[in-house]
Formats: sequence, C-alpha cells, structure tokens
Amino acid sequence: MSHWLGSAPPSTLDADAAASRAAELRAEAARFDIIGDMLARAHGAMPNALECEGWLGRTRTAFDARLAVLASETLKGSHYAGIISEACTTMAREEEDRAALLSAMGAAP
Amino acid sequence: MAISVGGSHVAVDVAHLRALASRLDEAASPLEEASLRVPTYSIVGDPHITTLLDDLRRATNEGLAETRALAAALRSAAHELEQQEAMAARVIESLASQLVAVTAFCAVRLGLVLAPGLLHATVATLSAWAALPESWREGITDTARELGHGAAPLLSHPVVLGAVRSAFDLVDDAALGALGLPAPLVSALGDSGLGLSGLDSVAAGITTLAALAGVSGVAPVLVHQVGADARRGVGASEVEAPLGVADRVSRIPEPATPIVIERFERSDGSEWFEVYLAGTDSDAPLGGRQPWDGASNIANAAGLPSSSLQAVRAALLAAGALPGSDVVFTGYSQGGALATRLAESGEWHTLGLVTVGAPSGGTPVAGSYPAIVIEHRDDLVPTLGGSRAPTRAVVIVGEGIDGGHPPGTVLPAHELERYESTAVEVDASDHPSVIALIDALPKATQSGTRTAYTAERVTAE
Repeated sequence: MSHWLGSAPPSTLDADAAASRAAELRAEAARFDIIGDMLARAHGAMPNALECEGWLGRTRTAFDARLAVLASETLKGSHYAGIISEACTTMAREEEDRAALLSAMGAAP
Repeated sequence: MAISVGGSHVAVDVAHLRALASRLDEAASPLEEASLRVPTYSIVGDPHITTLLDDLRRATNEGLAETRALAAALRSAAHELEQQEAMAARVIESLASQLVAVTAFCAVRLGLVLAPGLLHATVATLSAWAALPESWREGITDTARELGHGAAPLLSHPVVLGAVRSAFDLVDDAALGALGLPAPLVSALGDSGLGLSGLDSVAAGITTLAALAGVSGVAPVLVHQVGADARRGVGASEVEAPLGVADRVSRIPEPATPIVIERFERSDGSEWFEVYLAGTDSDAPLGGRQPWDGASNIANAAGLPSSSLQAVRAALLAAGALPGSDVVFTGYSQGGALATRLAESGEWHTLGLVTVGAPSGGTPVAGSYPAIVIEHRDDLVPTLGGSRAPTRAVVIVGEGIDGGHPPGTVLPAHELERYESTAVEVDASDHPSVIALIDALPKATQSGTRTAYTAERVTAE
C-alpha cells in the first residue's frame, strides 16, 4: 500500500495538462515530419543542372550554380524540419511519462 | 531523336528548357505547401529550436521564390531563343528571296533571248537521238538509269533536304521575280514580309494550270465502304481501341483503301472516331480515278478542297460522324497533310492528331488538342511542305535510315515501316511533353468497329 508523503497530493488536472501538452507536441512533430517530407519531395523533383546542349556557357554556369544552391537549401530545410520533429517527439515522450506518473500518483489513495 | 515543342529550329534546347521549367514547377508545388505549414513560432521554448524554425521558414520561403524565378527565367530564355531564331530565319529568307527574284528576272529575260537557239539545239538533239542505233539508245538509257540510282542517296542527305526545303520556301519569290516584280517588292510580299505570296499560292497556280490542261486535283469523288452489303449493311469489323502512337501508325492503311475509320464508345455512351489516312499512291496516274495522287497533293499544298480531302469528309459522314463529333486523325505522307487540315478545319471536335512523314510544314497546328508530328531528318517528303511555321504540335525528328542508303530504294526514309519503328521509340520516350500528349489521347475499355473505304475520283472520261 503506498501513501503520499508530500505537502499535497498532485491533482488529476496536472496529469491531464501534461497529457494534453504531450498530444500537442506529438501533433507538432507530425506537422514537421510532413514539412520535411514535402521539402524532400521538392528536392527530388529539382533538376541538378540544365544539362542543355548548345546553351550559352556562362549563363548556363550561373543557372547551374543557382540550381545547386536551391537544391542544397531545400535539403537543409528538410534536415531542420527533421531536427525540430525529433525535439518535439522527445519532449512529447517526457510529457507522456510525466502524465503517467502524475496520473498514477493522483490515483493513489 | 529530337523533340520540338512549337516547331522551332532550335527545338531541342527550347524543349529541354521548357521541360526543366516544368520540373521546377513540380518542385514548387510541395515547397508552397510546406511554406504554408511552417508555423510562425515554436511551441517548444528551446532557443535552439526557435533558431532552426527561423532557418526553416527562410529556406522554404526563399526556396519557393527562387524556384518560381528560375522556372520563369527558363521559360523566358526559351521564348527569346525562339524569337531570335525566327528573326534570323526571316532576315535570311528576305535576302534569299531578293536574290532569287533577281536571278529569275534575269533568267527569264535571258531565256527569251536564247529561246530560238535553245529550240534549234533541242530539235537537233532529238534528231540525233532518233538516228542512233537501237542498241546504243538502250545502252545510254541503262547508263542514265544507273546514274539515277547512284544519285538516289542524295535524296536522303540532310544537307540536300535542307536545300530543298529552302527552295520550296523561295519558289514563290522566283515566280514573282520571273514576272518582273522588283526584288524588294517580292521580298515584301513573300513569307519573310507580308506573307501574301507563298508555296500555297504557287501550288494554287499550278492547280489552275493543271485543271486547264485537264488534270484536276479537286474533282469530286465517290466513296465506297469496303465489303459493304447493300441489303445487310455490313462492312464493319470489331476492333480494340488504339494504344499510343505506334498502334495508331500501324493502323494506317494502304492507298488502295486509303481511309479507315474506327468508332468507339465511352462508358457514358458518348462516342469518338479514329480516322487513319494513307499516303500517296505512287503508281496512280496524275488526275486519274485514284484521288490519292500527285494532283491531290498539289491541291492540298494550295489549300484547296482536294479530291482526297473530299473523300475523307464523305467517309466521315458515312461513318456517322456529325459536325462537332470527337475525332482523332492519324495520317502518313499525303494522309498526314490531310489529317492536319481536317484537324485544323474546326468541322469536328479534334481530340488528337498524329502525322508521320507529312508535307505539312505550311499547315501549323493552332488548336489546343494533343498533336504529334513525326518526321525523319533524311526524308525528302516533309521538306516539300517548306519550312515549318510555328506550331503547337510536338515535332519529333528521328533518323529514318541507319547505316547507309539501302540499295534499290529511292526514298527509304519515307517508308511507312520505318515510321512505325520511330513511333515505337516515341511511345517509349520519357520526354514530359510526349508523355503528356500520349496520355491526353482518348482511351476505351471496350472494343469498337472498324470500317475501310475506297475512293474514286469522278473524271471527265
């Protein structure tokens, strides 16, 4: 049989708030996953270079350089979205653990 | 295989640039969605995440703007290339037009001066020929024939074909010059100027002269359904709907039955027609009963209602196609020129156009239906239509003959079988414009009916 030894027992409201925060963070992680996928799809659709015979040399080089920067930035964006999603997921997991703990403590007589 | 969207001479580059612009459009679509989804603030209080979110927002928004800007720039570059090419062509044609007009003017006057002498020389030559022993004449004829066969490969040489195309562009200028019009005026009237004269006006003149001589490319025709039974009304057979370009090209008939019409029904009960048109019958006497002859070719070039054109109209009516009916036209050589004219006529609702080896450069596609024009670089016949006017069709130029001119043939690159092989390559193409066009052609899940027609010109005999 367990007994609460603190000044006051945690309320179920605290557990609910933690669970709600965890759900919010999970949704945020999913949102960034989608954003990451979209950016990866955009990166996949982009041409690497003009690959165009007879196209003016320096103009083509400039175009190719801009395409390369664009592709690199898009890939970086996808990477950032992945990091944010991972951070949200980690925090969501912590909140879920906290909610479970609080819920267990609140339910104790 | 070169693919051209718009029929420009710098087509390969232009088509490539437009395809790249389309790929950037494809990339812009998910970028736009992503930029709408990126939140303005983070619910995670961590400053590192806030910085990453700012970087992500910037990468998405700027990436979208850059993608759109590059796509627009590529389209603009493609347009500029086409404009420059067209302008250069106009300048060259204007100069060549004046040169040809002056040459023709001089040649005619010189001809008038030399005519009595030439007539005398011709009579003398003919008399000498008649006086030669039979064996000598046969020997000379055989030698001339062998020389002709030896020259046949020239008819497939790209440089010669380019010259022929240019010559056909300038034939109107030569005619006006011969009539005595000043060279600058000829240039102003021709293709490079106001466009009042052209290959079509020369062809119209030839048609008129031919009609005066008793050869008519515009005489009326009778159309007969092959195998039709007057009592039972049969003559149609069951057929599966065509798939892609090669399947359509393989259904083009022989000149003996120059028109084949297939009728299909969609699941909602609506119908469409597939029309296949043969090439010129090379054995047909000019202006004879066979309307798929040279006289119809000239009338077609003149934009006149040639006998073969009338025959297709009549066959479509007989097949049940009404004005405004959905029709896909497929044709080879003369059939391709007819298919283009009919598709552009507005008499039917054109769902698609496929031509192979057609002299249709002077009949550009302006409608918004899927149109594929296939030519062989070494085929003489398409060059007879002159330079290609700007067109909405996708023009595909392939190689007709690989590994040299086959012996015993005159225009091997024009053979329908070789175009069938090229059409197979077209179906296998991964070019976005070609894929989109093939996808846009109608498809059916159930079989339809196929009817073949013969046509007979009503002659004065």
